[in-house]
Amino acid sequence: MSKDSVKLLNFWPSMFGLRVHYALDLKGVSYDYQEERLLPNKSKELLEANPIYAKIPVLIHNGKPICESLIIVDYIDSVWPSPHKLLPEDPYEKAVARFWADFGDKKLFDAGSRLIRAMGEEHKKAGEDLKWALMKIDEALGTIAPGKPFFGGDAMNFADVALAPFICCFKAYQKVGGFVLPGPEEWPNLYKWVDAVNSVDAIKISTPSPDKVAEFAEVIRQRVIGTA
Amino acid sequence: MSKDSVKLLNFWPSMFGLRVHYALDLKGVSYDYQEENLFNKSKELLEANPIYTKIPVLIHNGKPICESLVIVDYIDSVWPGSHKLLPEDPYEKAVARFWADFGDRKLYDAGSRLIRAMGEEHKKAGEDFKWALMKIDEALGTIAPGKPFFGGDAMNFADVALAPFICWFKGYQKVGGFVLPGPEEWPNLYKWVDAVNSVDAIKISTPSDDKVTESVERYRKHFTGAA
Repeated sequence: MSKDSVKLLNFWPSMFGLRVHYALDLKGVSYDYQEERLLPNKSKELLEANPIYAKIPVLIHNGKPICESLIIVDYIDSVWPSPHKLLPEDPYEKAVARFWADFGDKKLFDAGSRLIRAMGEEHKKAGEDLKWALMKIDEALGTIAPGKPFFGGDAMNFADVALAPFICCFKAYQKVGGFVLPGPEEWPNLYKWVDAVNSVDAIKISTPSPDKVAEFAEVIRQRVIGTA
Repeated sequence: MSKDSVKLLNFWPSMFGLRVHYALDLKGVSYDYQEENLFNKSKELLEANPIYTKIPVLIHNGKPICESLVIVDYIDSVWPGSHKLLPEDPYEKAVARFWADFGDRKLYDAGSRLIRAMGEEHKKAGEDFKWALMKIDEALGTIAPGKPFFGGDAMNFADVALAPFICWFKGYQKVGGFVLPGPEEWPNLYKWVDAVNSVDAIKISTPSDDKVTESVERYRKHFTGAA
């Protein structure tokens, strides 16, 4: 049987791409990595693999492209169910995991995005919204998996993989937002989760340094301010 | 074994709520329906969906499930036997999820702007809406050539996610001030529309497009400030 060909097209600061890294690395799947330079021009391969959105990440598995980070993670979990199954078998637990993964997009990414691109009052609100989202994640961890480090209990699940990539962005958000996040006294579950995620060997493989991410975010922020 | 308690909290024009109706109706699942007044949300809705306080919410044996595509996925997991919506093959499943998500990202987004935006932004919303339908027409031709649905001979997860927009076409055209291209330009799309509208289970809960259009025009006036 010929070896699977698995390739990830990504741009290193993307937390969406990081979700795919995490899923593959947690499962010990071997893959090739192709860094995409999104400016000034996207590669022909990316445009052909993702003609609808022309965005990273894209996973190309045996020549077939899969797009949209949570769809890719779901795909990875179906193709390589073991080791480290990410989606719970129980339909309700699975729905809860999907809900919090989606929350990462709707509330966390959205607020973070506005922190980088918005000005004035909108920028201030983005900071409040980001803190609200993290507070909700702290509460959720306490409700869904009380006393456990992860949404998935003792091991990372679909929700953990979807949300963990934002951890290396916390420094960046605080920098461009001009605030300091509440600490473990206010959000005990969140910080225990952060420590637990950062202790997972598979997670360390691909996570960029928070300093590098913060540098990158500031460059984008300066560009936004410069054109405002 | 006691009977399952299944209840849908919804607001009748919502295409997101309609996705849930379609999934339940295609599978022949019995459920109670509770219409929510979004200007006076029920205590039940606020408790069932504290994060977003939005419909639809499915309450199954007392447990709430929120977000329409998460709900449809849940329904498919709990009642897989009758009319499986998600393909077994991982790649086909990913394709179905992609087009379901496209409904949110591109179709709903453009439609939303058709209702809320003004001037140039409103014009662009119309162009974006048409582009999205053109892409759906192309996708149908590629994914299931010669077949009526994304799922081939029967509706699948992508069909359930996208079909609710059909009863909004008239309303979007009204507030957008345009007429959609017809079957000559989008043959696959219109065959798909006819096929969806022929499914008995779909007819159960689909509101009339005239009724939806009335609502859409009302929302539009709210944003344009017209009398």
